[in-house]
Amino acid sequence: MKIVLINPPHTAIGSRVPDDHLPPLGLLALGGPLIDAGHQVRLVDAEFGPMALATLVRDALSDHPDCILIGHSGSTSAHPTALLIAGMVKDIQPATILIYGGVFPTYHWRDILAETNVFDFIVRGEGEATIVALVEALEKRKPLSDVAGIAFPDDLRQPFATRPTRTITNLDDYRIGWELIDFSRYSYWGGKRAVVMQFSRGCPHLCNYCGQRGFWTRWRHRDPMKFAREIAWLYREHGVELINLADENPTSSKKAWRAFLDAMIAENVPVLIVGSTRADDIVRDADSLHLYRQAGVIRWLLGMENTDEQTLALIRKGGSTSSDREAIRLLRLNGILSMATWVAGFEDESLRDLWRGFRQLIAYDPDQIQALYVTPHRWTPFFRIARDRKVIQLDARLWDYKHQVLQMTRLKPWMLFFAVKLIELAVQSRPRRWRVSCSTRIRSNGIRCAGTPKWAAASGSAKSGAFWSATAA
Amino acid sequence: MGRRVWFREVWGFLVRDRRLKHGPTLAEFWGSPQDEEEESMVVERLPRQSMTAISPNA
Ligand code: SF4
Repeated sequence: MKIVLINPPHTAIGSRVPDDHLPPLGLLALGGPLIDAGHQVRLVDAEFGPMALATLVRDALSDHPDCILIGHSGSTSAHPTALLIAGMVKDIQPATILIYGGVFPTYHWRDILAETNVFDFIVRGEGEATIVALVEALEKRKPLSDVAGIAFPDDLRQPFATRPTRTITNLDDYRIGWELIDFSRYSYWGGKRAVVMQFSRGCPHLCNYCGQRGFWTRWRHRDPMKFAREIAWLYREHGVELINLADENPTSSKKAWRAFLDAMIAENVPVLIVGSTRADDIVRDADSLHLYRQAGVIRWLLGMENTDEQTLALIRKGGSTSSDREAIRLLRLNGILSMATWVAGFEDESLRDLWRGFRQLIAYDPDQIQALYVTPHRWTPFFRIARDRKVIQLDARLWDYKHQVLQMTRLKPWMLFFAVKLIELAVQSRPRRWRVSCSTRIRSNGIRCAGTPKWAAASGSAKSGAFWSATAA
Repeated sequence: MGRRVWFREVWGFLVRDRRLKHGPTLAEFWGSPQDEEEESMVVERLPRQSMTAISPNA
């Protein structure tokens, strides 16, 4: 079959402003198995430009594909755009089969199929095995109800889902379709040639707001040796200089992560690695953080979410403020930058709470911070806790963690917004941070500090998966 | 996020984005809680392997 993968243009502010773009890993992960199954696959990445929707649809339909697959790593906020694209495709070529996948459609499949008829199928959960089975069933006219992990309108146009699919046990069974991208177009960290990869999927922790953990269902990891070998191959064959790990929690297994570090060091390639993990794991690995650095790790995003123990208990973060602070200190000691995510917009938060949070952030002393807003997802336990809160933002494109979406009892939106902006400004521009951040980058990476350090560099883009399922949900 | 993003966000808040004073509840907006369906897949259990084991903190 002739298949086009569409990465919709994302409206999130972080995706729109930076000059760097990262490849859409989720779509490439489907592309590899589809190519291996004998299909003709092409990617249209509309993040460049960003492409106007009419141009995108024209490009996608230019060679009359049998199927179009749409998915985005920021699936909640990208949903309205995906819907528009699907509608435009159906208007021009109604016979094209439209398949939609990702975190948001995995859970909202009933509403999506009930509200619109532009999507023929929704893939639920991990897509690699499901998409190959679905396309084969379509091609060979096999019964669709036998394909696990899909939803579609039944004969009466009612939403119908097949049985859930199984988690992939061995992630190395499926390869990423690297041949679908022109590596020279993708960069990060100030123009370095970059790609997104996953060492692991899922997370063993139980934060009740997390939109990622349940989607991946169980924590699994790739073979550390094979993973390091693939990174080295990307460097040698395609000049990739930086890997942005999209893992929720790559360091969950001390043993597996250590095996990966050793394998990376043995590969001896000057590839830089950024990713996100938990502060507890950094503290656990205090004696081996020098190996992190040797293997190429230059920045960890630490999802600390809040500096208040009570709030951490409410969201069942399972971390503690002392491990957060210690992790930042240890990373700095080892020449690794820290970026702390910090979430505002809890129901009863007051200006006094924000002031306390600000002082604690200063005391933690992270190199960078990324301020986000409480953004509950329907499939998480936190949604149940917050179900009666009032929504102040009806535009789903702005449910991107960078906009306040829920009303608060004590603060008006303008009060929260300007308090957060001031905190960002004050934390990011404090002289000590500039000194430490710049010297760390120069000393450990040979990267010249351009004078204006990047703030929460990955926000809203293809990365930043762990906290509040930031972009993947 | 660079300075450009910071200024764009301020501009967006002041000029572009609209917010409601009396919006629906979260459950009215997105639908009822769905946390009983949180795990989207069923777990494939295979004999334990050396490195690709499913258990973290090994
Ligand atoms: S928020 Fe992070 S640590 Fe918590 S469950 Fe999700 S991925 Fe794991």
